[in-house]
Amino acid sequence: MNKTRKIYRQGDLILVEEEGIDTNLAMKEGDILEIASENGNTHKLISPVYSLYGRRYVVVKKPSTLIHPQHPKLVIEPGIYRVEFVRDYALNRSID
Amino acid sequence: MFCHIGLGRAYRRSYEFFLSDVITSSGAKKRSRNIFRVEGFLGYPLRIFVEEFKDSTIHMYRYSGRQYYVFPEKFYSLFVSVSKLIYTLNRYHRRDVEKIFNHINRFVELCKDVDQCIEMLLREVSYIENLFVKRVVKGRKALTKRFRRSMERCRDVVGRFFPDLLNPYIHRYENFEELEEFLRKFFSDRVARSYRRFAEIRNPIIVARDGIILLAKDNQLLDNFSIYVDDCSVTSSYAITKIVGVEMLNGYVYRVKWVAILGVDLYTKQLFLHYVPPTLILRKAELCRLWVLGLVDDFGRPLYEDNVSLVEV
Repeated sequence: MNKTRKIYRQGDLILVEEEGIDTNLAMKEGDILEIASENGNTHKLISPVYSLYGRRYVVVKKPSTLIHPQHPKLVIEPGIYRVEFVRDYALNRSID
Repeated sequence: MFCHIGLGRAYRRSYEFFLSDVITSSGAKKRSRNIFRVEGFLGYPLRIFVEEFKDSTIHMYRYSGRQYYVFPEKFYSLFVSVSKLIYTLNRYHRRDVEKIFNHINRFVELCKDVDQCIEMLLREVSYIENLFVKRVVKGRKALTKRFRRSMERCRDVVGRFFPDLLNPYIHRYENFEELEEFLRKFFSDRVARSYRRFAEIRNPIIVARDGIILLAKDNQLLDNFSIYVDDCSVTSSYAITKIVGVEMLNGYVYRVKWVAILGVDLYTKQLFLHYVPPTLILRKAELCRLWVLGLVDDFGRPLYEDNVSLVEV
């Protein structure tokens, strides 16, 4: 049976669970994930952030809360998550 | 003049025919007049016609991976007509090579001589083109009917969450530099630049910030432009509609300009608009939303093999 992949979305920010990411090969960016929305508010998650091959990953070691002033809080289960944003065909790339 | 026809190998070498004043291989070497090429994978019917009229061959030779046959000049019209039929059938049968070849196989049996065959070919091309036009018109009518019904179904959702959509503010611009400048007031530079590029191709487009704005060129008539709501969905956290911008002709959809998801986040009360690939035109609003979230591809197929548990706020 296939494993269930956890995906969280808070507004424009999406966290996609990934397996097999070796953070030893990745560059550590910081200890907090902070993503500014277009309206000036910020998504915040206290967990180490890494970058690997142009992608960002956040390593959640214990259940942590993703917060944003305009959205309800979201509890993120432990795991390694790829940081993604909603897509738009006109904008060609994810909104960041 | 003589008609040279070079038969290639399927999928490897195109078929070609042309007029030349010599019957020898220098005709092919010197690249004579009125060269007509048919892609290799579609060329098989030409081979059938060459076989059918092989008795009329004046000369034959091999050159550059093709077997050439030389015919009298009037065969040029025959091969042009065959090529027209091939490409008409290619559109009609939606590139189904087997159907095209079967159609031509049945047709060639009715050919008795070149003149009669050309006449029949032209009649057949015109008949298939008519069928094709009828099919297109039928498709346009069906799509228009679907959009009108969906508009009725989603009228309440639109009225409640997106009243502006039925009568959006229209911003006119003279050129695309001016449009980009206008968009910078609401969006970041990158987003403004991307919308400008999108407008250059899909004009008129809409954008959403605090309200909905239709962006149209100064001289552009909007009489033939319509925005249809094709589907809608309301949950506890969002309300979305799938909207389609179309150009109309004689009251029916003529060309689809773009497909988008217009929604409102019920937590933040913020409007959002995301364009989705036109390949999703007939899909549900929820599936288009999954494309925006990166969970399905441009055709609506899941991108992840695993089961997915989506938690969103």
